[in-house]
Amino acid sequence: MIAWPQSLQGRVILVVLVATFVALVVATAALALYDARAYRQTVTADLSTQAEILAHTNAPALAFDDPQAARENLALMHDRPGVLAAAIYKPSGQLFASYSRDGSPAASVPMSPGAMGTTIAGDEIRVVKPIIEQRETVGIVLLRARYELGERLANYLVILIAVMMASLCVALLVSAFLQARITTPIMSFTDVVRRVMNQRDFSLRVAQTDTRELDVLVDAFNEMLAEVGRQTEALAASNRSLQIETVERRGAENALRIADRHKDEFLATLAHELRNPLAPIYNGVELLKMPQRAGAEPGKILDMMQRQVRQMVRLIDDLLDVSRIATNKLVLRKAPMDLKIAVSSAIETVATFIRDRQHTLEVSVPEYPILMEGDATRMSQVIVNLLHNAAKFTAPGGRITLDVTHDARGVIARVTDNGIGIEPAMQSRMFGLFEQADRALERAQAGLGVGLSLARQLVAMHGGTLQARSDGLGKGSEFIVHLPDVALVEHGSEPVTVQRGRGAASGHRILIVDDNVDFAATLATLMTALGNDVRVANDGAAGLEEAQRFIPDVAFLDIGMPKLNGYDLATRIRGVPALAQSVLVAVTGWGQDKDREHAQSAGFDHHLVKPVESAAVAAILEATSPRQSSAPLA
Amino acid sequence: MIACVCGVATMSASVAAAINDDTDLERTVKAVFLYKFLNYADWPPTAFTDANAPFVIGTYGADAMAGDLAQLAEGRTVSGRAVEVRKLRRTDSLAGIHVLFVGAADTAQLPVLARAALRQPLLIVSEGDGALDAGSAINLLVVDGRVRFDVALDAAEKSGVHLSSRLLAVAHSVRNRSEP
Repeated sequence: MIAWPQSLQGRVILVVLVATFVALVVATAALALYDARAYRQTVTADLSTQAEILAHTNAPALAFDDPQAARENLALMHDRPGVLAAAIYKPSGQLFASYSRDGSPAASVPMSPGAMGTTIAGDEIRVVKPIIEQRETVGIVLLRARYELGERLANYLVILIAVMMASLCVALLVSAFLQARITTPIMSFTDVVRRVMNQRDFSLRVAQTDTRELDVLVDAFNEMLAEVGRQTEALAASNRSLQIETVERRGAENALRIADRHKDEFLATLAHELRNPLAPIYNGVELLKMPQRAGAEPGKILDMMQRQVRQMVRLIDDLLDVSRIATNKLVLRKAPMDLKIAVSSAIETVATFIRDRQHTLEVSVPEYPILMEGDATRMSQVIVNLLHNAAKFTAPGGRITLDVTHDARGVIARVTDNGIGIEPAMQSRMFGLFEQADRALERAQAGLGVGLSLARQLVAMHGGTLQARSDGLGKGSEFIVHLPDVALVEHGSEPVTVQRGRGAASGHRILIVDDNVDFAATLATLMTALGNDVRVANDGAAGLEEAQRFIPDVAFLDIGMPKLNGYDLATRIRGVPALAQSVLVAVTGWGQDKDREHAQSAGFDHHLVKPVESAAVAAILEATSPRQSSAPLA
Repeated sequence: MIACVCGVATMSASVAAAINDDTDLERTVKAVFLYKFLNYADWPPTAFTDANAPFVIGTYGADAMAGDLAQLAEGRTVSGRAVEVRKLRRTDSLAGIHVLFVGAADTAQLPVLARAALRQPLLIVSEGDGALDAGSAINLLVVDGRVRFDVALDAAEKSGVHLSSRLLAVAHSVRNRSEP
């Protein structure tokens, strides 16, 4: 049994071959049947005729009793190879003459003729006929001949097999040629399908064929490919965006983790930094309380305590500034200013620290004023931070230079030192908030890690840049402030006004209202020392009475007070027409921006955060014209 | 001497009953032969007065033979004609005779009889030695105990009687001597 082929080609060929085979077998069987029948008829008729002739020929021999002649007649059958034997019988059935092909009459001719007619037995046909002469039966003729139907059919079978072989070969060739018409489009279809599956390439398309049914399939498949392609594309796109999101989220997570670590480090540093000044202050207080101070001068102790307090204030101010910048709440109070004065102020601020560390400071500034639009206090803060930083990261006895120049490209301020320098890896992140140099240095050089960051932010808010350069560890470092877009203002009188400021801090009528009696008293002492007329009240209500009575130029009001708080007091004072021109200054421990805003809306002109620096107080007084002395000055 | 003639004798029970000895048997067989010659010879139409006119066999010097023949022909026809047997004497006319049998004793008369045969279609059958030379067309003889016959084709043709080739096929010998 032939197995049913798996391939389409094989099936097409097999179908053709089977059809050919069946057709041939049926045709041959029909032919063989027809031929068998025709053969039988032909042979029968032929032999019958032969018998008839023999009968006619041998009638005289029978009539004249001449078996010899009959034998001679019968012997003529030798020329008919199909005839096996022939015999003539007398009417009585007695054998008269016979002929046998193989020469043994007894074996091939029966002694009596048997029944008349034609009989076929096996491969032999026998005809028995009467010999009639003048309507009288004069004898009987018998003929035996080969009936070669089996042999004939065998020949047919051989021919059939030969023809079938040839036909099948031809059919195979023809179908192999013709099946391509059917299978080639399907094969190319299958090929594309296989490639799509292997390569996952959904842009492949199956070509149109010349078969209608296949084309329907091809169209449907192509459409499906297009759809799958679109879906795959969409999926890939969504995967890509997911991937990007994942990367971004990891980055964000990482940044958060780093920020968190910095925060922890910062908190530890902050606690340490705030504690540092407290110890000497605490010691100073203890010393001052002692009845007998062993050789310690109260002035020196107070100086020391003042330095430590300043250091704490500076730290806390920096922290607040950083917080403001982080929340976009820092507002520059831009005004025309002289950068040289901001520089001098900064030098004054850090001079003590530089001296303590035994550095030498070389300052180089232009002789003329550097006028610009900016926040003088913040610019000064930038220079302070840079100088402080240089002093801190330079071994005692180092050399620090401050070089301020200005040309067409803008103002450049360089702070250089010959200190420990910066390692390259640190240069890129040293301006980051809370960034510290490595641990070993951190221990020796304490700090919150906010100074440089704050400085850079402040410079940036002035439209400038702050950059650091170093040739490496131990090679010193250089910080460059570049302010390119600073509009140089040409108010000739302004710097003069600023420069004579210190003298103007005197001659004011000043009211101090604070429930902290000590603070009020110390501030009053300071004001009086500066040459002002000072009154003090210790609660809001008293303060209001005193203000109405005294009509101060400047009033320093505490916010948190019994009876009447600072905000309400300010509102009341603003309600008194005589006090409309008074400058109101809020003095409070609350330094947040919302507190400032609250103060501003309550009618305050300024907002000072405790502890109040004398310089800040002086600055306010300088900006205020004393009412009595305004006429003579003008 | 005559061994295998019973086959022919059985052709007719009446003939068989007449067989008494070898001579009778031979004569009977010869009578059957004579009768059968009618089947294998053709006479021209002028030999008969009409379509139903009988065959006439005449015997000359063989009356016993005539008796056998008459017995054979009783109630039979050949080619639709009855068969009549006449015993002829020397003076009798041969007119209307189709077959003339001349007995062995009258062989010498043959040349005279043959001349008569030239005037009418007459088949002369004889049974004597040298009869064919004397003008007979068919001469009966016994060969190896069997009755056989020789044929002189020219004699028959001259008389106007045509002998069938089938007859010639079973003849003992056929002579066809052309006329000088």
